Amino acid sequence: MNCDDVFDALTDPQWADAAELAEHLAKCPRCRELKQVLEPALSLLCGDLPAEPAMRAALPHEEQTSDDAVLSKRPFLSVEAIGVAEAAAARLASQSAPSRSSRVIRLPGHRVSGRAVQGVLCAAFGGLAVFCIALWDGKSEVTPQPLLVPTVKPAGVCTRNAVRQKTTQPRENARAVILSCVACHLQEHQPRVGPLRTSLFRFPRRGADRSLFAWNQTEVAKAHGPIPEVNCLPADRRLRYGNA
Amino acid sequence: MHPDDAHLMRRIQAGEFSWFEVLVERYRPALVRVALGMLNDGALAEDAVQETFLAVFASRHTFNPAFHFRTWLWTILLNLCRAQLKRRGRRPQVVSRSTLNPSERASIAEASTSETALASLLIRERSAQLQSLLNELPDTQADAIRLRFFAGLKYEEIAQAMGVTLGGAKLRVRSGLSRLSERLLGDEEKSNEL
Repeated sequence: MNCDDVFDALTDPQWADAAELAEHLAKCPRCRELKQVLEPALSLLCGDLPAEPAMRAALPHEEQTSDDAVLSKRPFLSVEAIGVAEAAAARLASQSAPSRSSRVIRLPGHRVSGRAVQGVLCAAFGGLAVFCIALWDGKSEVTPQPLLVPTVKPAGVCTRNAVRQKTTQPRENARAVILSCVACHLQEHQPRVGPLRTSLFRFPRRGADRSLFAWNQTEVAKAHGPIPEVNCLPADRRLRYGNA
Repeated sequence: MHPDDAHLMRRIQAGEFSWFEVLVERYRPALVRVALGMLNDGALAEDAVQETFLAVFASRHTFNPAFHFRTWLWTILLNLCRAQLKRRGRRPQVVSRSTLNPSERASIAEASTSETALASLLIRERSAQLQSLLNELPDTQADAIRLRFFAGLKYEEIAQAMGVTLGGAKLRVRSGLSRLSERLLGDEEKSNEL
């Protein structure tokens, strides 16, 4: 018996296994406390109650006759009551019906849920479709689709676009682009005058930026020639290339 | 030994209407007790029970063995009692011997011996107290307690009858019992102070 069963047992006047309940209560202080809290109400509810109250018989005779007169005028069964019964039956039937999501397919020695089988089938068909498309695509003579990533944008918009594209040295080209962006957008940092530090990580970030700024100008200038003025920043915030 | 409710209902659906009497005998006492507790009027309670059985009979074709007959039956009774309370537009008033005037009280038949009279009186007082306390609870908690203790439904059946989850049904019973206990302890303390 667990703690959840104890609540069922406590609230069931006809609970059969009282010994098991007592055994659990002896071991579980939480359930003992629950029983103690609910005890006044339970003793009232589980005590003797009149089997069938004789309220109607207990009423005075005059009142009974007047009640009878009123009751005789009322219909025995209203449309509302039938509606209540039918609605309750429909609701209970819908609650009791097994849900589609919990449908289980029985295989010899295994139980596999219907949703899992659906998933496996979908994945298999999807894979097959992709394979067929790839096979057909390889054999076809359709012209290749353009790349999704656009190539170089028109020059003059930003420094990175002004840097000459060197397809033979992609790595160096990428570095030049990064450096040019740094040169353009970190203008609040003053160029550093002095020897270059070997490692950026030894210094605070601001110092590192300065070092990078000073280094980048010479690197970019060496590799790609003079960097043209760009218009991606307002005129008053544009970086003046050259000596600080 | 009579067959179970679902079997009886199948026979009734097939046209053997005499079996309906068995169902009425089986459930009527508990239904009347709960209806009386909710409505606090004997005539109205009997009406509600009568109408419940008639509604069951009239819509017997909608019964589905997938759910329990008694869950259906209690659901109908609770709904009809609630509708009746709504029509009256007020909470039920507690009627007990003490609220009747002397002439009314005298007309009520007493038990034959003093011992049985005392026992009967205690039971009636106890019942009146219980109904009064239940009527002070929120309807959902009071109904859940009635279904559990008077109708003897399992928590799964209470959940179905009230349209809530199993945990929700247990919570309603538990919360109602806690409130009842608090109230009873409070009353006891007051009487001790006096």
